[in-house]
Amino acid sequence: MSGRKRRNDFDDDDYYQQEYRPRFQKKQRVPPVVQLCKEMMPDITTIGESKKAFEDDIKFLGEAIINEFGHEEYFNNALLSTLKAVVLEQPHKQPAIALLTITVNAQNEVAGKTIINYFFEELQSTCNNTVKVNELNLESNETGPWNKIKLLLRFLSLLSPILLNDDIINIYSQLFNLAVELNNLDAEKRNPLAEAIYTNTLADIPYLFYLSRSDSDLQSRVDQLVSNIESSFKIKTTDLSLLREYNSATAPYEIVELPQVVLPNVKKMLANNMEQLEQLFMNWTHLLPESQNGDQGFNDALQLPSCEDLKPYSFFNSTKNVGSVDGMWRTPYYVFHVYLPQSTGDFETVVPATTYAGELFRDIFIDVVEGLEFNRREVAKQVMMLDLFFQEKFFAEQGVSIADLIETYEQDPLASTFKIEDIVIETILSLVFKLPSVSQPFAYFYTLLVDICQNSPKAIAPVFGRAFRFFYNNVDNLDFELKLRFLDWFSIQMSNFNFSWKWNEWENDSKRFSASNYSPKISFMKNLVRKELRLTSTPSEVDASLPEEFKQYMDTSYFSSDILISIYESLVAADKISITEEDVKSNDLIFKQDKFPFASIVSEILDYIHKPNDTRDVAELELLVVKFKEGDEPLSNNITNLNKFIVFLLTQCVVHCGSRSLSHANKYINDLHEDLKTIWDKLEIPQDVRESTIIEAVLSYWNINSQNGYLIVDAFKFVGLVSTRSIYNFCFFDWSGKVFGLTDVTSIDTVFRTLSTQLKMVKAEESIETGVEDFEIVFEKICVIINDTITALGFSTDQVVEIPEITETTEVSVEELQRLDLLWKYTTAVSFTKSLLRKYSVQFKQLAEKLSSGMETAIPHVPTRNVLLKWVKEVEEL
Amino acid sequence: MSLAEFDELKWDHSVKRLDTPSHYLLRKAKKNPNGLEELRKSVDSATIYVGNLSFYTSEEQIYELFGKCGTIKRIIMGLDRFKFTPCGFCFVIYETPQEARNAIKYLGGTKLDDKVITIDMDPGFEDGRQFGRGKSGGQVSDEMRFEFDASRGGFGVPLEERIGMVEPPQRFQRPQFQRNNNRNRPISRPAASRFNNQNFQPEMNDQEEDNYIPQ
Repeated sequence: MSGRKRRNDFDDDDYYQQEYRPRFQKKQRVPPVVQLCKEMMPDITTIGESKKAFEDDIKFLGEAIINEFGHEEYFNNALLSTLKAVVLEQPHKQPAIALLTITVNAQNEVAGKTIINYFFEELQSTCNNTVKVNELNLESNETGPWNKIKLLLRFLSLLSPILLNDDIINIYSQLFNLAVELNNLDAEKRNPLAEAIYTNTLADIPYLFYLSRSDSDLQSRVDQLVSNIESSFKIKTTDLSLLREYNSATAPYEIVELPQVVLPNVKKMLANNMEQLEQLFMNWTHLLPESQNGDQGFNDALQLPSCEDLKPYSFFNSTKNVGSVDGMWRTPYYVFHVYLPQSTGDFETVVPATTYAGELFRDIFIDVVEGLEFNRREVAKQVMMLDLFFQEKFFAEQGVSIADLIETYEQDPLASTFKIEDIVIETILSLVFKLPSVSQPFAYFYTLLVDICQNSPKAIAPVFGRAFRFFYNNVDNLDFELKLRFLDWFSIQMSNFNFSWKWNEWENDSKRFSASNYSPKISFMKNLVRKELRLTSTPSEVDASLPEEFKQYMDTSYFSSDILISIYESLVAADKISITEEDVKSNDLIFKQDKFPFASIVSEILDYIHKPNDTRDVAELELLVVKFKEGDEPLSNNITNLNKFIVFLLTQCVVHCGSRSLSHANKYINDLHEDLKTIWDKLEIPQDVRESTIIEAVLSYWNINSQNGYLIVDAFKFVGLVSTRSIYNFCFFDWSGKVFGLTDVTSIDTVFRTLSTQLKMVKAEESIETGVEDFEIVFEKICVIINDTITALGFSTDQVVEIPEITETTEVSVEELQRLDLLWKYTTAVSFTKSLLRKYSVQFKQLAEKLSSGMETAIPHVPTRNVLLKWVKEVEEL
Repeated sequence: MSLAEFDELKWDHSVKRLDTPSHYLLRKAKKNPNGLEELRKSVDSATIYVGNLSFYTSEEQIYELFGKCGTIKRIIMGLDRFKFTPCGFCFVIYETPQEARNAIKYLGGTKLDDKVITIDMDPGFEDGRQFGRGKSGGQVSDEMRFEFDASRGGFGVPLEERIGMVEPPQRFQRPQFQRNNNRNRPISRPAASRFNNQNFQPEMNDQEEDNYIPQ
C-alpha cells in the first residue's frame, strides 16, 4: 500500500469526522496506572468467589503486585486501601488476602513489609481512636474501633508465617492484659469493654494457625497465652430479664452469654492436633511460597491506651460514635436462636454457638451485614457464598430441604447437616430482634432479608417459613416489642412475595379463639392482615390469599359497629334520630345526611372550610355555630351536649375535607386550627373533654383506617389542639373491655411514636433531666389496667397468675375463653411495661426511685409488683 | 464539565455504595453549568425522588413503607399536570439527610404495591416539580414505554404517534395547568420531526428533559 493512498484514507476519515460528529464525546483516556487499578482492584475484592480461579488469581495478582508495587504512589495507595477495605468489610476473604500478601512478600519483601506495617499503623491509629470517641464521626457502616481492632488483629494473625512470633504474640498479651485490668475495675459488675476485648481477641487466636499449622514455637506460646487468660479473666454472668426475648420461664431456649463460651470453643478448636481447625479452615499449604522469610516485624511496638483512660468509654454509653458492632456489647451479649434442633429432628441445622465455628460464622455474618450496610444487594450475595471460604464438607448442600436432610442424616449420621442459609437468616434475625435496641434502621434488615430471598427463593422461602412458624408458635411468650418487629418483618416479606402464606396452618387457632380480644395469636393475625392491607392498593389480592376462615380479618374497623353507634348516639338525641349500622359503616361524614335536621348547616360549614385561606373570616363560622341555638325549635334540641357536639362536628368536617390524603388533612388542619381554637375557646367544655372528643371524632371518621386516623391526630397535636396526655388516655381507654393500646398495632405505634417524639423534642432542648412526665403517665396507665384485670380475675394479692397450657387439641368453652382473655390481657399489659421500661430506659432511670417507692400502693398484687420492681431495678443496668 | 469529587475513583470500599447519585443525576449535572453545586446539594438533602410507583399507590402506603427509614416531614405526590391525578412518582421529605440516604440504601429496588420502585437523590423540592413533564401530562418515561402496564395507565401514547406515522393530534387545546408563562412561543422542535430522524433513539429515563410547552 502506497503512502499516498494511506494519506487519502486518512483525509477521508478526517472529512468524514467533520461532517458527522460523533454523538458522544470521545471517551476520556485514563492514565495507565489508573487503568491498571480499575482492572486489578475488583479482582482483589472478589477474590475467592470462584473456587476454580482462586489459584490462578493468587498467582497472577501476586505477580502483578510484585512488579508494580513501589513504582507509583497512586497504585500503592489504591492497593493498600483496597486490601484494608476487604479486610474490614468482608472478613471471610481475609485468609485469601493474607495468602496474597505472603505470596507478594516472598518475592518483594519491601512490598510485604509495607503492607504489614500499613495494617499495623491502622491498628495503632484505631487504638488511639478508642479514647477519642467524641472527636470521631462514625458513618453508619462503621462497626466501631474495637471491632476494627479485632479484624485487623485477625488479618495480622493470618500473616503469622512471615511475622516474628514475638511481635504478634505481644499484641495478644497486651490486649488480654487490658481486658483483665478493665474486668477487675469492679469485682461484681460486668465491664462491657473488657468482655468485648476478651471475646474478640480470643476468637482471633485460631487464625494464627490458618497458614501456619506446624509452628511449634507459636503453638507453645499460644498455649501459654490461653492458660494465662483463663486463670486471670473472671467470667461474670449477668441475667437481665428485661433483655430476654421471651417473657415467661418456659422460653424455648436457655440464655447463654457469648463470653462464657468463647474460651472453651477456642480450646476445643486447638485440641487434638487442631482436628476441628482442619475440618473448618481451608488448607492452602500447597499454595504458600516455598521459601519464605518469617522475620518481618512491626516498625514500632503497639501503644494501647491505659485502663484509666479507657474507663469512661468502657460502657459504650455514648449514643453515637460507638459503632454498630461495638454498641452491641453495651448490654450482655446473649446468643439468639430460631432454628432449634427439636423442630427438625435429632440434628442441628445451625452450627451451635458452643463451637468455635458457630461463634465465628455469627461473627462474620454480623461484620458483613454491618460493615457493608451501604450496599445490601452485595451483602445478600456475600452472606450466601460464605461456604466457599470454608471446607466444603463442613456444610450440607445449599438449599437442601429438611426432608432430604433427615434422609441423609439417617443414612449417614456423620454427614454435615449445617445449612448455611439457616445460619445466615438466624444471624440476621438476631440483629432484627436485638434488645434493647437495633444497630441499624429496621428497613435495612427487612429489605436485606427480602433480597436474600429474591436471589434464591426456592432455598430461602422454606427457611423463612420455619422462622415464621417458630415465632408464631411462641408468640404468646414473645416480648411485646419483638411481636411488633415480627409483624413488621412478616408483612414486608409478604408484600414483596404476593402475600402468599400457608394460612391453613393457623386455622385451628382462629376457629377456637377468634372471639378473643387479647389472644396474642389472634391479635397477631388481625394486625398482620391489616398491615398487609395498608401496604397494598389492591385489597382483592390480600383477600384472595386468605382462606375462608381468615376473611373475617379483612374488616379493618377500629371500633366495632356497636361502639361506634354508641359514640354517635351519645351526641344526638337518640330518641329523635336513630343511628344505624349502615350509617357508621359508610366511612363518610354522617352528619351531612338529610335525616339530620342540621344537615344544611353542615354543608355550609364544609363550604366555609373549602374557601381559600385569604377569604375566610372566623366570624362566618361563629354565625354558623350560633345557628344551632336559633329558631322556634332550636336545632340543639336534637343534640344531647351541644358543646361536645360542636367540637366533634367541626373536627369531623375538617377531617372530611382533608380525607383525600394525609397531606390534604394536614393542610386543612394547619389552615383552620386558629379558627377552630377561636370557636372552641368560647364553648363551655373542659380542656380534657374537648381533646378526647377531637380524637374520638377523628378515629370515628377514620374507623376503617385507624392508622390514618392516628396520623391525623398527630397533626392536631402539632398545632397544639391535642395534648400527648389525651392521646395516651384515648389509647388506653377501656371500650367495654377492649383496650386498643394493648392489641391494635396502630394504637400501640401511636403510643410509642408519641413518646419518641417527646424524646426528640426534649433532646432538641438538650435537657434530658426534664420531660419524663409522659413516660410516667403511660406507666401509670398500664398499672391501672393491670390492677383492674387482677380484680376482674378475682385473684388475691399474693396469688400467682398462671396461664393454662393450650395445645393444638385443647378445646375452650365460651366461659373459659372469657377468663383466658383476661389472663391474656394481664400478660400483655405486663409485657407492655417490660418493653416500655427497656425502650425508654434513660427516662425511667430518672423515675426509678419514684416508681419503686410508690409501687407498694400502686400495685397491690404482690407477684406482679415484684416483677415490676425487679425490672425497674434492672433499668439502671441498661 | 468536570464533577470534581463525583468523577474521582475511590478505593475506600470493597463494593460500590448504593447511596451515590444515579447515572441520570450525574449526566444531568454534566450538562448543567451549576451541576456540581446541585449534585452536592442532592447529597446533603433530606429529600428523595421515588419513581416507578403504581398510579394507584396512595400517600398512606408510601408513608407505611418509607416511615421505616425515618421521620417523614412531607410527601409530595407527583401529579399529571392536566388531570391532577397521581402519575407514578413522588418526593419524600425526611427530617434529616441521613434518613433520606437510608431510604436510598434500604428501599431502592424493593416492591411497593407490586412495583419495583426506584429512588434517587434530590436537591430539594420546588413548587412545580410535582407535575409530570410529558406531553400528555404524565411522566416522559411513560410516553417512551412500549409495553402495556396496567398499574401505570396502560399503554403510554398510541403507537402511531410515537413512531411518527402521522402528525400527533393537537390534543391539549385548553390546558388546565400552565407551566410556562411564555405560552405563545411555538414549539421549537416539532415532535414528529424528531421521530422521523433515523438516528433518534428514545432515551428510557424517568426524569428526561422535555421541551414540550403546553399551548
